Amino acid sequence: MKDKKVLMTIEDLSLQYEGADSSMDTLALSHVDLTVYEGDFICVLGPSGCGKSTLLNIMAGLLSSTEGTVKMMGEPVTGVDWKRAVVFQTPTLYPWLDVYKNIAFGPNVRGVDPKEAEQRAKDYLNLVGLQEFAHAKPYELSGGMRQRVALARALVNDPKMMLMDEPFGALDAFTRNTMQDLIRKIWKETKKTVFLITHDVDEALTLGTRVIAMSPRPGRIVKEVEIDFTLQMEDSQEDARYTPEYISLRKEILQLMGEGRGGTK
Amino acid sequence: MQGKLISNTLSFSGMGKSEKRVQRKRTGVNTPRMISIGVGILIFAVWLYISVTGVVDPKFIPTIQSVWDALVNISIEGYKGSTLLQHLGASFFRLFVAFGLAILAAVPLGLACGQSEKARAALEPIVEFIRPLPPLAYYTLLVLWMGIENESKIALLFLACFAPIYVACVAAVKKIPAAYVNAATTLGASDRQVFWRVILPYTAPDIFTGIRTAMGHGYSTLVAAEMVAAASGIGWMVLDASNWLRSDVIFAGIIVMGVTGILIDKILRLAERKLVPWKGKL
Repeated sequence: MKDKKVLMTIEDLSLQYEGADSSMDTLALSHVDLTVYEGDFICVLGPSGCGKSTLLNIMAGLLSSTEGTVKMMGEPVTGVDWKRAVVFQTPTLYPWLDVYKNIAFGPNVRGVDPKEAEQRAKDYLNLVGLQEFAHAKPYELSGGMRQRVALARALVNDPKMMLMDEPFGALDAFTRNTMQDLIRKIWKETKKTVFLITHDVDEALTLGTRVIAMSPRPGRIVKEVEIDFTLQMEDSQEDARYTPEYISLRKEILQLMGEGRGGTK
Repeated sequence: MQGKLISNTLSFSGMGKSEKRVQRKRTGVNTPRMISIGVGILIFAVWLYISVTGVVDPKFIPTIQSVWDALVNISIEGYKGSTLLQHLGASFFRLFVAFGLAILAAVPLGLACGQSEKARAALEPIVEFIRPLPPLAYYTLLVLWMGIENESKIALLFLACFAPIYVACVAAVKKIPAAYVNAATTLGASDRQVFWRVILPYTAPDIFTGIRTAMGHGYSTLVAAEMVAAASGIGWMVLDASNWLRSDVIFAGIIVMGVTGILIDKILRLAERKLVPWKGKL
């Protein structure tokens, strides 16, 4: 595992939100260390308020930390960069653009050669299976389809890293399953590095190669495991979810997160 | 009872039309429209009754015939040297110049103030002070400064139109969800691109609502201003007619104002549908 190339290093990262006075300050993140390798599929689990979104926003460059450093390929992260794509929980598609133009947004603003931009946008439109909806408006699509567009819009830039903040959290269970299969397929095909936040233990275990559990007040990493259930999850067979290792790991994580009653959905 | 009245009155409002309406009514879609039409017809019927029987002095409510004659007369012969179209033209010139200037000034300033707290701090007190003032209160001052010609009226209408557009722009910018902007920047958009490709289209529907409010506000201010000091314009025509107890001209003028007001709003709504079809889809 460690022969992989380091993509991002996070060292001693803390972030304090200032309250009305110093007693109201909240430590959203406390001394987080994490090394992200190329090709990793990291799933971050944790209850709300554990700082997982804060961590993602700092990695994206949308927030700055109070202490510690984030470096991507040796360069400190000081602001946003298209090399780190972000997929938000609600797909923030632009209703004044059709699906195709939404996907082409990144290449267009970056000044990619129009012909290449068009080709790339079409490729990713096909990848998420929405070629027939190229000229539909986002508000004419279902929630799952919108999130597919958001996914394609992020991927079309060919980013080094995909940061996903509970991307399937607002979808119904069936759509969520389809989307999980899709993201797994994309990850396998493109070898992208993915950092995905979820509150769904099964989502984390069936998608990730590394699962990180965080706990709140202060937000910190409490456990990390390396797994390979996702590699066993071929589209037709889903046996990985019923193996004893899977079940015991699932139980362990749920207990760790203080909700060992067996269900998270 | 009302349903009966509607079907009775419809029967003499032209066969082709009434057939169409009856058909629509069967589908049950247009009941509210039928009620609106019915109320209109009811008012007209009352007026018709008064005209025919003469129960009210025509100085207060002129007959339909005399109002129609006045309308034809001021359209062709004119009122005090100008035809109805010339009066309307004088009014609309003032209104549209001021309206255009207000859009040009209020949209950029509003969008800037929505993004910058400092810009807002500079402009907000002025806008907040002028906004609740009845325009006619400071109109006298504008007349004193600029005379009773078009300059003072355009300045007045500019001020009346500015606030609704400005306020709509500020509010629209402030409510843009951060994720909309973050999505653009993480995809590689510069600040300038974020403004043109995200902020402007996101705020456009609200700006349009502000523009429509401004137009309504400007139109009523215009008529009032012409009543205070003018020698032409539709508002002046009505005021002058009242000095001579020409209630037929007053009625004709008011009807023209009402119809043009509705027309302007319809045109703006149509433009809105064409230009910002994503309104309400955000």
